[in-house]
Amino acid sequence: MTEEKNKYNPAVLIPWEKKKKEYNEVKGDEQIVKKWWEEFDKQAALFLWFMVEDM
Amino acid sequence: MAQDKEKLYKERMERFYAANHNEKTDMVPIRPFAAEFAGEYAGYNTQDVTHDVDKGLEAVIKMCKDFDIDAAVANMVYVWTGLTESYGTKYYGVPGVDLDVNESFQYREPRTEEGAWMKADEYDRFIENPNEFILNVWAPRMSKYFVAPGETNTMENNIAWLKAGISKMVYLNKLIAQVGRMKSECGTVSAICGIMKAPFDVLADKFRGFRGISNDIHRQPGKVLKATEAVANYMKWNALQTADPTKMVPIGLWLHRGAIGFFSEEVNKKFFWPTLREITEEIHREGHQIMYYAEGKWERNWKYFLELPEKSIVYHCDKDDIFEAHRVLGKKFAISGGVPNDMLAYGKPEDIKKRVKEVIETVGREGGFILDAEAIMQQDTRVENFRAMVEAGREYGVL
Repeated sequence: MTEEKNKYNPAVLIPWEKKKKEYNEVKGDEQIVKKWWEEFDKQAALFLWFMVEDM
Repeated sequence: MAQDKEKLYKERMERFYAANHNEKTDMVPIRPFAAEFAGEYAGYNTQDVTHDVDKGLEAVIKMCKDFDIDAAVANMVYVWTGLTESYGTKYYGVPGVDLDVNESFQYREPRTEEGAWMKADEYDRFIENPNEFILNVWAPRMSKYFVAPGETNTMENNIAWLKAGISKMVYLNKLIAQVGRMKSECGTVSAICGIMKAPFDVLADKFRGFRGISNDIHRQPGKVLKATEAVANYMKWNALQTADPTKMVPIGLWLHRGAIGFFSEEVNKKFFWPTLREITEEIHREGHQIMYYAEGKWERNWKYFLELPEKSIVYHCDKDDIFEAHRVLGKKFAISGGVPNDMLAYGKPEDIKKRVKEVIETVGREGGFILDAEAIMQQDTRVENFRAMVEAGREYGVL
């Protein structure tokens, strides 16, 4: 198999690195801001494959 | 949960788990994949159970309460058209809207290149980022409402995306509640958990269509291969995200285009099998089983399935000879199935009982067999024949 299969993270639609640039500064715990951005990104990605595979 | 149901659930789960893992247990588990039949039994028509998921789920509960079955699917009418209509899906024929109220929903796959959800010259974009392609190209094509980036946005587009997300969460919450009801009210195991498809099937079913992919495997085979490899990681991830966290029940995988009659063995060996094998092995390493629901005839592929680790799959037998399937695959994998759907529709209860006895005495005697119909049971299954199948399963299934 080629490396295509691992090229992208299936759980990511808009990477945290891109989202973070919208903030001047993340005051406080950046990890909890990152956590929930990534969680909802993951849920949205799951929905895309729910449409493709299941519905 | 009442103690009697708790005890019953525990017995059934242990039985089901053991049989799926090719072990001999106290009796053959009965695991009907009842789709529109459950609705028929409950007094609902096909539109009822397909478009109103509450009726569909209630029908399954009634079936589980009224029949002594070990496991069932929480909702085997797997497309809730009330949900797919909320975001304007174009590719379903909907009972009661496009179809008669008693016709099952129909997936209308792309028949021409113009109608394909993914065009022949779009492989590179798909391979580059499948998520991006689904969001920005596939979804706008397959929906009446979704708008592609760069086009004029509409209120319908905004609402459709909102509804799509909400409807999925509503559905998941209902399924979670359903699994709980099956357990607490019926003592019945929810038979499968998790979503997966063979990468080649994803491309053939939902992106290029059968005609499209038939051309592609000859005109641009390298891109088809790369596309299956690109999709494979997403398939594995999605399967593991949605799988049973307790690892007690298998992930459901309906196998399509590798069946005899679609493509040659050479095509299967090159395009269909490699990524499916790799994903199956990786999922097995994570501690999960996959149910290979092999629709149609698959005997030609058995030698490839035998490459898989022992007990990594449960092989569901549709149109193949189940006795031969047991002979070839039975040492490594549990087998499910046994009762032909045409017998359930047109036969008599005594035919059903004779068949169940024959299958159990041959395939099921040493364990590793789960009794079911050959294919999902729809509205043509007769109640008396279903009852005969379950009763015979209990009568002859003590091991």
